Amino acid sequence: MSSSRPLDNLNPTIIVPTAPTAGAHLGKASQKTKLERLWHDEDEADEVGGTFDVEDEEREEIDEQEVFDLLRSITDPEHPLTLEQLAVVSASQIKVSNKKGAERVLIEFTPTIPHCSMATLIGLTLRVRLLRALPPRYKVDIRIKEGAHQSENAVNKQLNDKERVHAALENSHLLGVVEGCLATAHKRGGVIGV
Amino acid sequence: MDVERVCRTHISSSDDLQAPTDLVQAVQSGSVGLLEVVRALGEYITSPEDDVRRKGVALLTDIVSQTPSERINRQATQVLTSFFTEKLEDHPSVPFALQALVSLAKLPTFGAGETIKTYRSVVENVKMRSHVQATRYWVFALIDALMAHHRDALKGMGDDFVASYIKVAEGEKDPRNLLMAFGIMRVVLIEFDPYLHLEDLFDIVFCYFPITFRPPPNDPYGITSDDLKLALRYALPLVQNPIRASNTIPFPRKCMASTPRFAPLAMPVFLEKLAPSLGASKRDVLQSLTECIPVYGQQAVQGYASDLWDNLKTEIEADALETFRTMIVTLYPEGKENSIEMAQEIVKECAELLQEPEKSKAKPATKILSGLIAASPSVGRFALSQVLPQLFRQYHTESEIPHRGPILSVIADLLKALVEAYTAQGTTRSHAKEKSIEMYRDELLSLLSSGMESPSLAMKSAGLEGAVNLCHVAGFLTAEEVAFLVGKMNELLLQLDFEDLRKSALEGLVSISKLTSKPIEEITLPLLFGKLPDTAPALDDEPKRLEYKQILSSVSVLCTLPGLLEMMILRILSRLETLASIEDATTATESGGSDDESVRRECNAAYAYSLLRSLLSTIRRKVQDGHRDVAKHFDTLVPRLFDFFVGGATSNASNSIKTDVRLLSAAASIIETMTQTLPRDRQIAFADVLLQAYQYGDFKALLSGNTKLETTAINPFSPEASESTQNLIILFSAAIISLPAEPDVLSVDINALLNTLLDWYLSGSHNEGQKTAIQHVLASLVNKRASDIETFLHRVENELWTTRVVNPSSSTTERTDAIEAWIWIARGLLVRNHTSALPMIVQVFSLFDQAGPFVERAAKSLRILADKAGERILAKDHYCVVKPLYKQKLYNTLLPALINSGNKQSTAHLLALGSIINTIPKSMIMSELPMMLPMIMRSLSLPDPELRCNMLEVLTTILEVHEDSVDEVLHAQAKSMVEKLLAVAVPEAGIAESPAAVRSRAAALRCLGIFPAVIRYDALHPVKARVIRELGDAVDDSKRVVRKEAVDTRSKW
Repeated sequence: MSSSRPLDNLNPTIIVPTAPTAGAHLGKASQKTKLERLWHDEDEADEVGGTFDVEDEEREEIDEQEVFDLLRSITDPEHPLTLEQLAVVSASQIKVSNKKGAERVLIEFTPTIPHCSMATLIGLTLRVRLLRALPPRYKVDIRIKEGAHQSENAVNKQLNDKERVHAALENSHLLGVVEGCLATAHKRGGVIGV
Repeated sequence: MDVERVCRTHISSSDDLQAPTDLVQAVQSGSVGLLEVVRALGEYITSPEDDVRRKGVALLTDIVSQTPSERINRQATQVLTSFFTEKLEDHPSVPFALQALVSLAKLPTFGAGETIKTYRSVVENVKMRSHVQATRYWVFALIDALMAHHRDALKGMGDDFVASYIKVAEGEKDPRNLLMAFGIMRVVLIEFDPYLHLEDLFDIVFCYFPITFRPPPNDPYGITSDDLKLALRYALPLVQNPIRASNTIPFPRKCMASTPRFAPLAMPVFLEKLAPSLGASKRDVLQSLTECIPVYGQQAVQGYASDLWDNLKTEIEADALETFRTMIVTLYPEGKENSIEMAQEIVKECAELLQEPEKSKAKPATKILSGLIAASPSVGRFALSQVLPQLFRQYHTESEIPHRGPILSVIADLLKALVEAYTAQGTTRSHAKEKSIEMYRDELLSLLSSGMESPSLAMKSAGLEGAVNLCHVAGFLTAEEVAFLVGKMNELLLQLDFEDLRKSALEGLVSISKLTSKPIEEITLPLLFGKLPDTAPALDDEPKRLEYKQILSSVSVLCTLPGLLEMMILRILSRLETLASIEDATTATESGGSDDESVRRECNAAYAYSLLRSLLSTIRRKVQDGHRDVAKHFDTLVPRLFDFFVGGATSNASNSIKTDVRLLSAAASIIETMTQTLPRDRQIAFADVLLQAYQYGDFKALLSGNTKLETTAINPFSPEASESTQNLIILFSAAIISLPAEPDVLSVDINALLNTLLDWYLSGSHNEGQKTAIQHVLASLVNKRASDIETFLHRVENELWTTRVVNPSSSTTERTDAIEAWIWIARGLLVRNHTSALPMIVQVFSLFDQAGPFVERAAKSLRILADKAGERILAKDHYCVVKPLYKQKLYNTLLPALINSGNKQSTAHLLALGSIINTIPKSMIMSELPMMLPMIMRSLSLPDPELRCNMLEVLTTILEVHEDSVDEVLHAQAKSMVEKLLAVAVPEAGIAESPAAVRSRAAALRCLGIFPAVIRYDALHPVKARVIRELGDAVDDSKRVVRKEAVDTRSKW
C-alpha cells in the first residue's frame, strides 16, 4: 500500500462476507426478556427510529461474534479488501473466555499466503484494535493459525511480547500504516467499497 | 444642462473614475446626445497629460456602457468605435477603451467593418504581456463579444484571425482569463477551419492539460479547478451540429474535445499523461478521454485502442470503466460490421482471469465484460458466447463447492449488464433482437436454480441474484420458467438463518412481481400463508416465533403490490379468528389461573398483534404510495374488526385475547388508516353508524351482520360498563380522528359530544389506552371545530383548569390526567394558530414556581407537544386545520420564557425543556445557544434518562450541524460538555438499569464521538487523556450496544 514494491499476493482469494445471523443472540434470555420480545415489532421500531433490543438487567457478556465484529472490517495492508473478505480472520478462529479473573481472548489468523511479509503488520493491527476496543481485564493472545506461515513462531513471539509491540507503536510510520488499516474497522461487516 | 461645465468640474475636481450620475441620466433620457459629450470632453481625451486623458476616457467609457442601445445611432457608433480603437495605442487608456468597445460591440449598429477594425486594432496594439490581468480579461471579453455577435465577420478574416488569436491567447495563465480563452478557442476549433494552425492551437490548448490549478484559500472569484477542467474538456456533441453551437451563448467552454483533428496529436498526449498520473489528475485524464473519444471517432481511436486498453486494465474502476465503455462504443458502433480483433483480445484476457473466479482479479474482469455487453450488441454477444460456456464447464468440473459461488456471481453480474443494456433509457436493444443468451437457456436455468438449492450461502445469494436478473431479461423466460425460479426463491424466503438472503429474495420477488404478479399471487403467497401456524409457538420456541414474524413481514411487503390486499385481509382475519377461537376453547377447558396459561395467552396475543400489525403496515405502505384500491376494502375489513372486538367485549370470557388493549390499539390504527381513505359520502355514512353505536348502544349497523351478539345494547360510555366494553372507545376514537368533523358529516351537537367525552375522561380511573384515545379525539375535534365550541372551551378553562389542575385537594393522578387533557386540547388549537392556544400553554408554565410531585409530572406532560402520534393525528390527511409556522410562533413565546426562568435553576423548567426540546426548530436553538447550552448541560444531570436522551439528541444535532455562528460557544464550553457527557456515559454503579438508561449512555457516547471532528484539538487537549481513560470503562459496559458506541467513540478520540 505504501511502497511501490511488488505485492506479496497479487491475486488473493475473496470470500463473500456473511452478515451476522438474525437469531445469533437468541436463546440466552430470561423469561422476562422473552415475554417482552414477543411484542417486538420491526415496523414499529422503524417508526421510532430504531429501538435497542435490550430490555433486561442482565449483563451481555462479550462473545466471539462481538470480537469478530470488531476485527472483520479492518482493511488489509496490501489490498483494498477487508480481513474478512480475505478470510484472514473469521468468527470460528476466535475464542473468548469470560471466566471471572481469567478473562481471555484468543485470536488466530491466517495470512493469505505462507510467505506473507505482512503477517506481523496484520497481527499488530489486530493487537492495536483490541487494545483500544476491549476492556483491559481481557488478556489477548494473537497467533497465526498453525501451519499457515513460514516463520510462525517468530511472528507469534513478536506479537505477544508487550515490549516489542510498544516499541513498534513508537515508530510513527508504522503507526500510520496501522491507523490506515483501522480506518474502516468501525464498519463491522457493513458495506465497504471494494 | 451645461455639458462642458459638468465635464470640466468632474475632470478637475474629482478623482472618481465614474461618470457623474446626472450626466449619465441626461444621456440615458436623451436630453444630452452622446456626441455632445464627446465634443465636451474633446480637450481632455486628447490631453497630453496622462492623468487627465485617462480620466476623460474613463468618463466617456462609463457613459457609453450605461447608455441604452437605442440612444446610440449608427453614426455615433462609428465615431466612438474609431475613437476607442485609436485609444488602444495609448497605454493608460487601454483598459477603458476595451470596456467601451465591449459595450459597443454588442450594439446592433456595430457592423462588420467595425468588427474587423476593432479586432485588428486589438491584436496589433495591445501587447498582452505588458498588461495586468484585468486588462487582459477585457481583451478576451472583447473578442468573446465580437465572436458572439459578429462571428461571420471574424470568419471572413480566415487564417489571419486564427494566427493572431493564437498570439493573443498564448501564455495566458490566469484562471479567470483562461475560462474565456478556452471558450473562444472552442468556437475557433469548431467553426473556423484552422487546419493550417492546428499544431499551434493544439499547443496552446494542451499545454494546460491536465489542469493542476488549485484555487487559493478565500478565492473571491470562486473559480474551481473543476471549472477549468470542464472548460478544457468538452461535453456537448456540437461538432456535428455547428448551428447549435452558434446559438449557445455563453460558449460551452470546453476545448480539447472540440475537433476530431486533434486526435492524432492528442491521443499520444493522453496516453503519456495517463500512465504516471494518480488520484484527481488521473480522474481528469480519464474523464477528458471519455469526452474526447466519441468526438475523435472510430478511425482516430482505432490505432491507439490497444495501448489505451493496456493502460486502462491496470485499474478498471469507475472512471476508467466509463472511458473503456466509451472506447468500445466508439470502436464498434451499432449496425456496422467491424472486425472485432481488439474485443477478441480483451475477452480472451478476461476469460483467462475468470479461470479463477474466486480471486480478486475476477472482479475487474467481470466489470470489463459487463462493459462490453453494455457497449455493443455484437461485442456483447461475442463476449457471452466465449465466457458463458467456459463458466458452465468450470462449474461442473469444480470439485470444491466454495468456488462455485463466485462462478454464479460472475454469471449474475453478466446477466445484470445484459438487463441494464436492454432497459437503458432510449435503447433499441432487446433480447428479441439479439438473442445472445438464447442457446444457454437450459444451462442458465439449471445452474442458477441448483445454486439456490445448495447449502452454501454464497451460492444461494449468487444464484438468487442471477435468477432475478434472468427473470428481468424481457421476453426470454416463459411463464413456466419464471414460476419455476420463483418457487426456488420462495424457499429462500423461508430461510430463517440468513436474514440478508431473505431480504434479497423478497426484493427479488417484488421486482419480478412488477413484471408479472401471477407467480407471486399463485405460488408465493399461498405458500407463506400456509406456513403460518394456527396458534402461537411456545414462549421458549423463539426460532418458530422469528419464523412467523419473518413470514408476516414478507407477506406484508408482497401484498403491498396492487391487487393483493383483499387476499391478505381475508387470510389475516381468518387466522385471527381461528387463533381466538382455539385460544378461547383452550381457556374454557382449563381450570384457569396458572402461570403457564397466562404465558400461553400472552404468546397468542402477541401473535395476533403481529398479524394485525403486518396488515397495518401493508395498508399504511399502500396509502403512502398513493394506491387507490384501499378504500374499496373498507367493508371487508372494518366491520369484521369491530365484530372481533365487540364480540370479545360482550362475551363472558373475560380473558379472551379479543379484549387485549394492545390488540385493540393495533386494530384502531388499521381503522384509522382505512377511514382516512374513504370518499366523502362513505365518510358520512360511516360517521352516522359510528355515532349510532356509541351514543345509543346500537352496534348492529357497525358490524358485518354475520355474528350474533349476546347482548343487544352496548354502552361503552356508561359508567357501569365493564372495562373491556369501555376499551371499545379506543376504536371509536381512531375512527373519529380520521373523519372530517363538519356538521354534515358529524351530525351531532359538537359541544355535547365533547362534554360527554370529557365527563367520561374525568370520571374515575381508566387505563392508559382509554385515556390516550380520549385525549386524541379531544385534540382532533377541537382542532376541526374550533369556531363552534366556545362553550366547551369555556368549560375547559373553568372546570378542567380551575377545579382540577390547580386544585391541591385532588390527587396527583387526577391532576395529571387533567393537565394532560389540557395540553392535548391546547395542541389541537395550536396547530391551527387559535388564539387561546398560546395562553393555555403559558398557563402551564405558571405552575412551575411551585414544587412537588405534581409539578414535575406537569412539566413532563409537556412532552405531549412533542408527541409523534400528535404529529400524525393533527394533520391535513386527518382533516385537521394545520397552519404553517405554528411551531415558530409557539417557541417564539416559550423559548425566552424558558431561558429567563432557567436561571432560577428550577427542576420543573429543566424537565419542561427536556420534554419539548426535540420539537423546537433547530434554527431557534442555534440562535439562542449561548443561553441554552448551560441549561442543556444542567439537564444532563437530571435523573430521568428519557429526558437525557432528548437533550443528547439535540446536542448531537447541534454538534453535527456545527454552524459557524455557534462555533465560539461550543469551543468555549467544549471541556465542560465533555466532562458532563462522560458522567452520563460512564455512570456510577448502582443506578437502576432501564432501556432508556442504556439508550442515554449510548447517546452520550455517540455525542462524545463527534467532538474530535468538530472541535479544534487545542480545546480538547486538556480532557483527551481523561476521555480515553474513562472510555476504557465504557468499553466494558454491560450492554453490547453501549460497548459498540464506546469502541467507536474511543477510536475517534
